[in-house]
Amino acid sequence: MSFYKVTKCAPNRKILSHEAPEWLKCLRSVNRCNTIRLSDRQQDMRPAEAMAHLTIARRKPSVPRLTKMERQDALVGFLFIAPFIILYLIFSFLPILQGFWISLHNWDVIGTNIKFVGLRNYEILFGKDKLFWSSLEHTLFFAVLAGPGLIIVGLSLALMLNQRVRGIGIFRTIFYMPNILSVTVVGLVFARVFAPGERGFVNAVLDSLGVSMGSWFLDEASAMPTVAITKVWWSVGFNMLIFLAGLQDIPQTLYDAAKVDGGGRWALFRHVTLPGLRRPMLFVIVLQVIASVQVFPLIDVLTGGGPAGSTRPLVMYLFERSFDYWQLGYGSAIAFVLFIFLFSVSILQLWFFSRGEGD
Amino acid sequence: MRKFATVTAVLLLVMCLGASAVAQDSMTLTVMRIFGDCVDDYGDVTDLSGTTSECGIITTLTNIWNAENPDVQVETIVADWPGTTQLNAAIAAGTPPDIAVLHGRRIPIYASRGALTPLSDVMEAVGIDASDFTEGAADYGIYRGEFYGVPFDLAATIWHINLDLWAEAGLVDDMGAPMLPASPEDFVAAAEQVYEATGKPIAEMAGQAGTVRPLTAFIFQLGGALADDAGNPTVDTPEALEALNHLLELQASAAITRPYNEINGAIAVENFANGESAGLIDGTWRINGFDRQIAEGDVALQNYYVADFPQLFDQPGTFAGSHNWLVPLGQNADPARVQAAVEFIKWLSDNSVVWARVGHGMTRSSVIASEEFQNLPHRSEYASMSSNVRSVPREVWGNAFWAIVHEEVEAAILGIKTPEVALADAQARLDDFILFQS
Repeated sequence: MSFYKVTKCAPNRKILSHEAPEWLKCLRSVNRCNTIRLSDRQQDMRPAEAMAHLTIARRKPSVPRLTKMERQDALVGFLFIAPFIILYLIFSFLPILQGFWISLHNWDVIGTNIKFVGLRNYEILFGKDKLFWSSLEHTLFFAVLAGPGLIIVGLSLALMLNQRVRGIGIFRTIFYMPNILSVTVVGLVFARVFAPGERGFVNAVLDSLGVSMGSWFLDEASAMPTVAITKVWWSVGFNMLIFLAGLQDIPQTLYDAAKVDGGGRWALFRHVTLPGLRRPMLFVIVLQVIASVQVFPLIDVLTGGGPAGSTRPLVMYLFERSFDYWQLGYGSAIAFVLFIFLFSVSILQLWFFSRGEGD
Repeated sequence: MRKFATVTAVLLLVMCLGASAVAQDSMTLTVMRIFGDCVDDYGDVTDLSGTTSECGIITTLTNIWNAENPDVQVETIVADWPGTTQLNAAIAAGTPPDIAVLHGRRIPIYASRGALTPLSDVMEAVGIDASDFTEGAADYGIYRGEFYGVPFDLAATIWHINLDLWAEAGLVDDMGAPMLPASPEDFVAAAEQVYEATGKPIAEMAGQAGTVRPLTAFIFQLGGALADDAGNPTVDTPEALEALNHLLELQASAAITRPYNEINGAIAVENFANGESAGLIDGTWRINGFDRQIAEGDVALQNYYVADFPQLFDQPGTFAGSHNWLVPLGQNADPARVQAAVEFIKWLSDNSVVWARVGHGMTRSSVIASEEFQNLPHRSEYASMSSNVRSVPREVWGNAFWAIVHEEVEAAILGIKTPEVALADAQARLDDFILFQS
């Protein structure tokens, strides 16, 4: 038995120890950091026959030995992140586990009447709870309505505000400002903006154009789109800011080079700007999907989930079951399903956007 | 010198023990309540004259108690309406307040879990006469025959009327009172008469005042029940269907109310104050606000009348909620603390006529009979309210009933569901609620 080690690793290069047979040195498939094992019998075989029985063992990555100073540095690093890790475990990870444990029980919100029911809550949830599915549907509908608006409008604003013009900071501040308002303020303002009759700003404008509308929030067809519009107005400033930062990270030389190659505005946007915003885009999309699926306070203030439950999102439903109906166990089951859903979607998004990124 | 030091030490010891004894005698009770925070305006006010708002009255009452009872001080924790989230958190954390205020329909679920202290005996001990509560009012504080709450008021659904608009339609008698309809046919005829004369609806209904409140009132008036003999909810019944169909007819008539999807609660109130509707179906808690606006002269409403909720069927009956004071210290609370808490509650109840200034109905016959109560504005106009009110059944599903039936009735009004499907869905959701109680 002989072992031949690749002494130097590089893509498409293979330099084996000198003792290796010539035919082995020419083997194209042996071009990574491998150890090649060749039995005595194989050494005597003809090259083609030996290749058929060739064993290529992946080399175990060697763990570099740390120096004392490096170990100290690592320890200091761990100490720096320890507070976060500890707080994360206590306030995020542990509650997730606890939530799952509660979801296996009948559990009153005040901590009484606790009874282990196994997976019964999940059986009811997936088996016959129509409101769970309708709430999920409303949630996804909201995400579909608000999500693209938040990204497209955010990106458009960022492109417009990514100019070197005197006083541009004022415009950036103005467009970001709604984002700092509390949900209650936004809710009260937009309840007025979309109020029925002449009291509502939108209806007053439409009335002057001869168009008559009822209450935007009390009509099943218009309630959710109106909530989505409110959400875009309120939150788009944050996305704008992220995109703006991303735009300012794209080197001007890329645009210059593209222009020299004859690229027009659309080509510049498509081949320079969009690829340059890959990471901000991933960040915004992941955050928006999570925020949209978790929507609750805004809808609570604007419609209360109505009319007739037609805008009730999943988080509002789990809140109702947990706190209004005292079914904390069932509410926890909904929360856990929501967690798994969001976790899976986020992983999928990360995978999707990280495909093809360079080694 | 040594003698002096010894005497001084003994004196100090005696003083400390004395102070400790005094400290042990005094007590601070925590009260978790809704009704808002108005410490800036009423923080040290002890004069009740002129105070008419819920927050102002309860804050002033508390100030007076604290001034008169240095040994039992009351500390207020203001909770967001409806007061359950903070109360639940406090109970779950094992730090409940000594006293809390909740709507009566919420009491059964707390009492059934042992979170509330039974009060019947201690009420008797401190001198609260349970027989003084009107029959309808007493129900709100009782669960399984035991008092767990002391009913403080009756917040009922009533009919706010603009007399000037009724007069335009010729529906005001010589005494200046509106000629109130007494049957569904009379009601529709009166509505059409007012609408023809003024172009304004006679009984605008929005939000819950247009759904679960009138529905339960009509079910009561039709002789229906909201629970069977076993205490299970029954909403999918012939009486409920008749009541819902009648409600849908009212909602569809422009002479009675503007379309449900064109108004909300706040706008309906504005419409009434601005003289844009001849009547409003809403709660007793609006009365003082309308009177104040009229006095300030900044609304079109001038001649304001308050009537009972329209009785359109055979039996009197209207929905009312009730704020109840309760002691959430559980089954094994310190008797001295419970007694102190109930003494404070008794004091509030004894002074509840002041609370009636808001517009709420009263729960005690003696208060209702008092001259001070009778002299309050509009009282003679809706005097029968206190005897007509009906409670949601005293069962753990009482609060869930409210939210579920509102939503399903709303679906029927908006045409999303047929009345039959809406009631069947409400029943199914209530049955599902019961499933989790087993």
